[in-house]
Amino acid sequence: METDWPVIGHEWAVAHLARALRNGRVRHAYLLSGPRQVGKTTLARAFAAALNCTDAETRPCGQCRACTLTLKSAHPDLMLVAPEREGGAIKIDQVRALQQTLSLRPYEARYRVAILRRFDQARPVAQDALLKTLEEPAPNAVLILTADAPDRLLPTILSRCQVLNLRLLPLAQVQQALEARFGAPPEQARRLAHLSGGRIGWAIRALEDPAVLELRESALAALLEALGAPLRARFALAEQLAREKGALADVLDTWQGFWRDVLLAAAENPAPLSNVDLQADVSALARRVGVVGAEAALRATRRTLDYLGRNVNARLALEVLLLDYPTL
Amino acid sequence: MRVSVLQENLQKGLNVVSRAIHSRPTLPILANVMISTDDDRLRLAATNLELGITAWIGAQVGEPGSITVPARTLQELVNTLPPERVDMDLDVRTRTLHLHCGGREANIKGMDPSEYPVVPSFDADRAIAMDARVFKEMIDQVVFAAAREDNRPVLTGVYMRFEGDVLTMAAADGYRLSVRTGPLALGIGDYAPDPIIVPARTLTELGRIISDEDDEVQIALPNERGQVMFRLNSAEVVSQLIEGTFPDYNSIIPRDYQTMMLAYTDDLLAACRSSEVFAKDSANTARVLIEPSGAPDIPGRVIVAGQSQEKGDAQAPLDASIEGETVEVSFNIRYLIEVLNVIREDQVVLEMSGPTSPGVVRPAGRDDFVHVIMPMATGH
Repeated sequence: METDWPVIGHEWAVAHLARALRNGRVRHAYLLSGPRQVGKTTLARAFAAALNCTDAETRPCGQCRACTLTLKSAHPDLMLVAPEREGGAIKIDQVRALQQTLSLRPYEARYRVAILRRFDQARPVAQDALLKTLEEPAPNAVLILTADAPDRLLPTILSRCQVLNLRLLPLAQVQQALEARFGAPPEQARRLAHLSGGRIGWAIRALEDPAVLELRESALAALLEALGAPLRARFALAEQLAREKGALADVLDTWQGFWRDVLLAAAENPAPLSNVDLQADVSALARRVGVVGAEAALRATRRTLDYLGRNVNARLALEVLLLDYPTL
Repeated sequence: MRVSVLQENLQKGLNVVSRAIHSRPTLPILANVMISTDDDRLRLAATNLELGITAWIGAQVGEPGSITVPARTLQELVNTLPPERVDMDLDVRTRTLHLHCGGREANIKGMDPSEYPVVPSFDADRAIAMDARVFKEMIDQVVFAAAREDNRPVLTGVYMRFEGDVLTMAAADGYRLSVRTGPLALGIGDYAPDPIIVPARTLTELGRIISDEDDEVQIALPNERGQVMFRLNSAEVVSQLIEGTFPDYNSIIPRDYQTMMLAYTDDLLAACRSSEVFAKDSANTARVLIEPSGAPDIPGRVIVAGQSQEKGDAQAPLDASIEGETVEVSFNIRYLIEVLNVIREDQVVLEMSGPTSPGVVRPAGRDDFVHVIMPMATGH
């Protein structure tokens, strides 16, 4: 189904939300789960615009005051609650402040919409605090939670939200969107689509901000260097990475994508590689570590990402990870 | 926009509206004040989406227009200007507000006024009128009993009910309750609005804004907007309402008593204050002993005592006329002080029905103000 939502991909989720809106069956709480930068907050914001859009026909119309302000995150009835710093978590005080606001009627629109980003990283006390709001929702409030790892949410939260699980986009769709909507040259669009692994948000950021690609390159260079380096160098790397908490998740994401490629290559799987530019390194490494080694490294990376979401000591977690990685 | 105002007026107006601006606003534009021309006046408006304040100052309008600029910056700047005429000139293209005053020049960068949340205008059709001084006193006597923060948001608000020619206001935080009634100057006729719950913070600010120049407050409840608006001489306050049902407080107010004391408000307040010095260390717990004399001509005695394990203790006796049985009760002394602070009458009545029942405080000779305090549970 064609929609005018300002969202790339996730057609079924858009269709589902549009249908709920049309039939007047909007739930009071949604959970959008899925990988980082796949478009969860973008979809949440588009849904918020649709909820409050004043157009009679097409919602969201993208033109009215409610739409323009919501899509800019500047609408008085849109509350965007996110961790105060990169790599942090939503705090209980933020949840309480939100509850105070939600106890008031909407300021000018139909609904007060709250988007709580990366709520899976919030501590259990903060999640507990939100439970009350989910149990006794204010009549004109809609809550949209986003989460990378919904299993880290309390089961009581999960059971009170309608869950929409967003998946990675097909690479061709990412490439096409980069070309059509962002005017990227075909070759660059193809490369970014592959590197993104289907995470459209990452691809757009990488297109607009060269630092994103630089971070990826330095992360992979550091990884390849560490694999051939003595323990002392690995510990030094762990310490250095732990200090840059904001970028840590991006670094680990990059490594995870890289090990996935190594595993695919080792298993001689025909699926397309993400790191198209490192084909030589990937196949060399695949020959050295084999399927078992690649899988172990991939698992260790995923586990570390999960640990970091649970607020462990970053330096220790990274040291363990780098010890788990194979030595060349 | 081209407009001239007096520095004193601008300063005063900004002081009033900036009360609605949070130190950490939820949207960047909420740190701004909206400036617009309105006939021959300049309209200043600010909102934090819960509370909005609009003020008008006299102005010479050369060319109408509007802009929003950072409130703090404008306020700080205006505070440094000499008490002379301030000429303001807006460059629409760059959204820069140019100020000129006593030879000084300044440029403030603004934001698109159309992005500013709509601060609704007053709906005078069904406004309810009330004496400003009475309303301010009602706010003072009720608002402090509301909860500061609570997971029941209704308790952070003040209940307001309009009935016939009476306004009732009530607030409670689970430990105390304040109820005050006041006359509505013109009544409300057959207009019967539903009771509303107004955030206590709004009323606190409103109480501060009401000045001696205000004779009357007009209250309007725009239909279905979930808002209440108050109009003063040269300012308007609009507040979002809290959704929910206020608890039925009437059942909490004791109807009779076993002990009743009548004392001078100042005496009782002074006694409470000296016990507070030590009570501070023990969760503000102070004991109040009420002892009738037994003889009709001799006054009874009240002792207020505060104690700290480490620092010592204080006992303050005072005379009072007492009726009924001897009773000893523990109160959070802060609560008692806070209510005595807002009683303007010379004499105050305290009614008790034993050490574990709520106590009732009211000004002597008036029946429009009742305050109920729960006693504290003590070891013995």
